[in-house]
Amino acid sequence: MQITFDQVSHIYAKGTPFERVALHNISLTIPSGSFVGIIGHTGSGKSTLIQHLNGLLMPSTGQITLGDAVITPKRRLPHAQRRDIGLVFQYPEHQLFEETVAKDVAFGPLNFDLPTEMVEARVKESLEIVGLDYATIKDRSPFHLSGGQMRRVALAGVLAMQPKVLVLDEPTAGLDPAGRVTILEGIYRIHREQNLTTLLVTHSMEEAARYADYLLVMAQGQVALQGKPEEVFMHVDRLRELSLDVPETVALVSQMNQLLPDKASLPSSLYREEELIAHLLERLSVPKEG
Amino acid sequence: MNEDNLLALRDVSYTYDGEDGQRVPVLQGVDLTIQKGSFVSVLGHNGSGKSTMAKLMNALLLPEGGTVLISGMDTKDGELLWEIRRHVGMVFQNPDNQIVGATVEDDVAFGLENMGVDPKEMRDRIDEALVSVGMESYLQAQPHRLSGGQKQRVAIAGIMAMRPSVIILDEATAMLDPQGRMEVLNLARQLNRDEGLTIINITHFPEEAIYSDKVIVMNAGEVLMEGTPSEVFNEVDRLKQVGLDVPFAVRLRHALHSKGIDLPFVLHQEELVEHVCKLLLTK
Amino acid sequence: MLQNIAIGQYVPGQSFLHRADPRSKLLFIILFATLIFLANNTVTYAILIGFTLYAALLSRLSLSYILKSLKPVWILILFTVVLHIFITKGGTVYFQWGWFTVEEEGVRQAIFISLRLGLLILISSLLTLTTSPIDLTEGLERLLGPLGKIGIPVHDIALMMSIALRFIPTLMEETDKIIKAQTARGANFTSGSLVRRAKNLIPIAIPLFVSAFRRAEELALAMEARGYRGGVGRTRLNKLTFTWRDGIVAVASVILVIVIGWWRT
Repeated sequence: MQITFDQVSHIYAKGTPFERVALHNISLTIPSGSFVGIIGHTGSGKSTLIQHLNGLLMPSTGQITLGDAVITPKRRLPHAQRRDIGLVFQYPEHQLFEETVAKDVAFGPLNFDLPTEMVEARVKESLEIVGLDYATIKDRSPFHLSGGQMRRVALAGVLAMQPKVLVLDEPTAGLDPAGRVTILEGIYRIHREQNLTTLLVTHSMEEAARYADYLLVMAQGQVALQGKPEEVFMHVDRLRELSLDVPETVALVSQMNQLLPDKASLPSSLYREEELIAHLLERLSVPKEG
Repeated sequence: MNEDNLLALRDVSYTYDGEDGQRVPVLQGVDLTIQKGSFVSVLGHNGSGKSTMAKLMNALLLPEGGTVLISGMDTKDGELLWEIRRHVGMVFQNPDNQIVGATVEDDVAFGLENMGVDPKEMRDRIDEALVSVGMESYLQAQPHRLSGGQKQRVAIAGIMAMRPSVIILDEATAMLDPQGRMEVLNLARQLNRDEGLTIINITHFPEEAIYSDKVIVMNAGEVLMEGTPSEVFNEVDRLKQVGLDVPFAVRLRHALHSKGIDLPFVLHQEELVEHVCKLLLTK
Repeated sequence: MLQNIAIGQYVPGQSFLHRADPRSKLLFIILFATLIFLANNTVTYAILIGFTLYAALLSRLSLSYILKSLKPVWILILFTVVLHIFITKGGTVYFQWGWFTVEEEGVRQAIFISLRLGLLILISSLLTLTTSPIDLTEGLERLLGPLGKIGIPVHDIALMMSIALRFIPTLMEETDKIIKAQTARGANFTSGSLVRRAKNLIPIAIPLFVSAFRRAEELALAMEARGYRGGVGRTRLNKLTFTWRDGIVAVASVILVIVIGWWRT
């Protein structure tokens, strides 16, 4: 599902002493099927941006197009279309409330009045997508699971609505390295298998570099940089100016290029670790001819 | 006991109640000493026993087997409990759930009030502690208005005011953004360097361990490895086996080295850059 | 959404009233309330009205904003007025219609009683408008301190109140977040029958309770780690200090007592 923002602004608590502009005239297009990394500091507007996607927030001015639905300051996203946009908040395990895992995952689909048999099938399917065994976990209390499992149940709860767009706010926050890899690989697999449009909000440049095919860098309510990862990572100075890091791979390449003569320099598109290693191996192991 | 050993764990074990009523061991036969004034990092994935170990170090938990000694004080001695807790400060993971005071100064005062410090002296100690963490201009601020990193710094100030000898950061950076993480880590390093404070940083970010004097790797309730960062991170495969990562430079060098590229072990990115460039230029 | 709701109705500022010690403000309110009940003629009421208006000026808040505090109680005031006009008899008869009369004493009482209520509410709103909940708790704790000697756990109560104040904003944010998360899962909190809407609160209430308990547990651990062991042997940071402003409040109080005592009949 294609997503377009056309000159969207959002002002919190307009007309009160607490008034604050959170989004400032944002225009962008996210093609259907892309995996977009959204990067920025706390307060840069990224949370506000994603909450516009399923009508939790309305634009103060401008217009948002989701597939063929149009949201304007006066026109809400119809309830039925909300389920096309799956929103996974930070620490989503904090939203679990049912007695059993199966009931919790069914909450979303039931809210959209899907028939019972269909809901059951979807619960089973989505629990299995996130790597949990339906038979053993369905009747357990979500509160007795480990932190990582709870997070996957919460993710399944969103996937069970079979969204076309998946929006994730810091899905790896607070997890250990193994847990981070498991959840991200899972998301990436779902993204490809279900042909979703995925938006990943993250603080980690490494995560963004690894999975995203398009990056949005937010700062002070505006899109500071956008483009393919290799394009965005070329602006090392601009990113530093926004006190954002570049991925370690990019930092390494740029440090090396400062020491190397131009003809021996490394291409700046080497932001994925495996590609960087492959490139270095190639250059280092083959003896120079002549 | 050696005088330099501030903290010692001798054959410590601990179990907790599992879901179905049986006792699950979380720590078994842990032997450790931590030197005064050192910066120690404890790595381990979730459930490796590292947080239990932290709680044993300031008598929030008591060992079921073995002894925990802090400056020679046995944590099992109830009389010494308050003295031990004053000596060993703890910063927890969730910045929101450890700030007690409704304002920054109230929170820093909390530990001092518990110790029964004279109100006149309290004022000076609070100001001093807030200066040491760089939060002196937030005296009257309300905690919920602060960033995650700032909240953790306030928590550290609350401990500093109690004049401790050790600060344990129990995954204190896990919930912070990269900026907050840097803030807290730099502060910990600065307190270690300038005030001679012993720091124990429990974390799962391998990058945080690069600058420590000693790295301890926990796995399944046991000390798996113990040594300098270079010694520990040199064993990339062994760390990978227990689900732990290594710093980027180490990982990259390992990938190249294992394919036959002649690179010495490096810990820091700058060294790696130098070595690889040298190789590239001589090819 | 929720985070924009001000807690209490404190409006931060730097006025004389904002900067006076909460203890003197609290004590003054008690004195003023007593004086309101001692006032019994036009002159004394005029003095009190004049004083309240002057205090309102000192707060540097807009008068209309302060008067808004009367909004929740104006029905009560109206009711009192009507009641007195109907029931209280005596003095000149102003109006007669069948058995129904409006007499001098009735009108007098109606005016005085509604003034009492109004002044009481205005002056206490001035307190809450110019004193942060934190300072208010602190002031109360200090004033009630002596009660500790007769076994009332003032320290513990004060700590409970201050922790509550500390966590209200955090829990409000949390509520906001949970509402949004469940809305994103298709929950509908604004339409449907009353029963359905009550049922809809479960997906919000349970996560909120779970999180509050988790926070309480972690907080207890953090407090213990920092050497908390109950109120015994505890000292308190002394944040409140009397300044010249409190001297003025004291002088104003004495003058007010003398003036009201002199003019009342």
